[in-house]
Amino acid sequence: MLDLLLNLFDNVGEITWGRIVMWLIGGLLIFLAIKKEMEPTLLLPIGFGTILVNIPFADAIMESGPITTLYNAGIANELFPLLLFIGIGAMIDFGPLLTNPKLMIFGAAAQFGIFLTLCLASVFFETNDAASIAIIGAADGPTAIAVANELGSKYVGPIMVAAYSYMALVPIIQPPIIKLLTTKKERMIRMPYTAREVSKTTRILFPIIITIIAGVISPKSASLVGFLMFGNLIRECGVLNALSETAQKVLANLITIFLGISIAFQMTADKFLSVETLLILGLGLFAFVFDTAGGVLFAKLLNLFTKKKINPMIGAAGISAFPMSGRIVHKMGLEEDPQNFLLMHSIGVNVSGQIASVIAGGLILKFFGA
Amino acid sequence: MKKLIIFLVMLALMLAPISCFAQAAASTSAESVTTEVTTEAETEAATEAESFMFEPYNFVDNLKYMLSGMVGILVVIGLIVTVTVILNKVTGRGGKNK
Repeated sequence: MLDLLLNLFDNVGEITWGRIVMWLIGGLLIFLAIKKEMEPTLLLPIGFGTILVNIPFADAIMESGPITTLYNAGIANELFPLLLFIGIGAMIDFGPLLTNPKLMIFGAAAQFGIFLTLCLASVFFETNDAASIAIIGAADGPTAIAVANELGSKYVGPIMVAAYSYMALVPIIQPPIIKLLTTKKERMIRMPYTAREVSKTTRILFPIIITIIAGVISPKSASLVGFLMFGNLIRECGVLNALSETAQKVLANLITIFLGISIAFQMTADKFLSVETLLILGLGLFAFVFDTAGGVLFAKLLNLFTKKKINPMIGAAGISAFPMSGRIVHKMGLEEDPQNFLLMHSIGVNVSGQIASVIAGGLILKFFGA
Repeated sequence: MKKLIIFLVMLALMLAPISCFAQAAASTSAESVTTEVTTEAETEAATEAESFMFEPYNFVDNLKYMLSGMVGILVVIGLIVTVTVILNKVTGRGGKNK
């Protein structure tokens, strides 16, 4: 009888301090998701999954356990991020960008942090891990997962947590950097917006042409760009409204649930609790900071040569955290000058950051992929 | 002054984990040189020690990827911008909305 009772609690002896810390981390992610509303769609499933997988001998991560199955079915082969990209593509309106295509150049400049972080991370990590860590700067979860998996990085879990946490922290990270690099006079530069029509033909051809260009130059990014643009094509064609709505809502939400909880496969104590995780978090922050700095400084550089001045803050919107970054820049513009409406410009740049970040991911895969 | 303080705080936040790691890597690599590996557990520990890196020259070696990457992105985006401008002209983008 005593043996039977002891058998009931034999798993308690397997609870290590590492597992307890991971439970606390999972709890923290859930707290941030619910109380602070920081990227709840992902942080909550990741947080709960973290708690689940750190239960000793939990069947969830056994060989044929549900989380293992989901991970192999959708993360290991990059399927879930690609399907999520269909939903994201269906949500994006490229209109503000198509009315002023030159804004895309700021999206390119704002990927500077990725490559600078690559150089710094390579001091501490193997090349494939350094490249995977650098892609945190893309501020794009699906791209980060796809690149980290393709490069066979050991740190997919910390990279994911860093990427999504910093995306949620964009309203805190970006404003001080922007203010540090700009003067009040620069922040008050007005950029009047002239609404122009964009033809339906342009809206339909744009995603197709982007896919061809990006795919030819960087074939490894063809899936990433292609699925994003496919989602956008469904939206813009005008004859697939039901599919567009499904992609934006049902598909995106369903895949987000599976993605969040299956990422937890990488959140076991032995994989997550290490000095490398702290370092990855530090490098992720570094990437975000220099992405913002890259965009702002590029805008300031252009102002040296252009007659029509650009508000350098819009450069900061070139990171892929859509639409948060665009809104932050617009809000900062209004704070300096209540009549300065930067929203259409900043959202245009923000959308271009989505494209540029995927291209950056493709280039990283081209440089370091097998 | 305020901007300088903010900058220094952010720099410290970013560099603190990096410096901790560098110290750990330096001390672990020094230990791994003198340790003789005889058992499987020791082999595993040694492998883990080897995975700790601190190769500052890699920063310079990888600058070429930074240059290639930024040029690559700017070229691709430049091409997309050009194509979009042509597309707008060819498809007869409408006039300004009043």
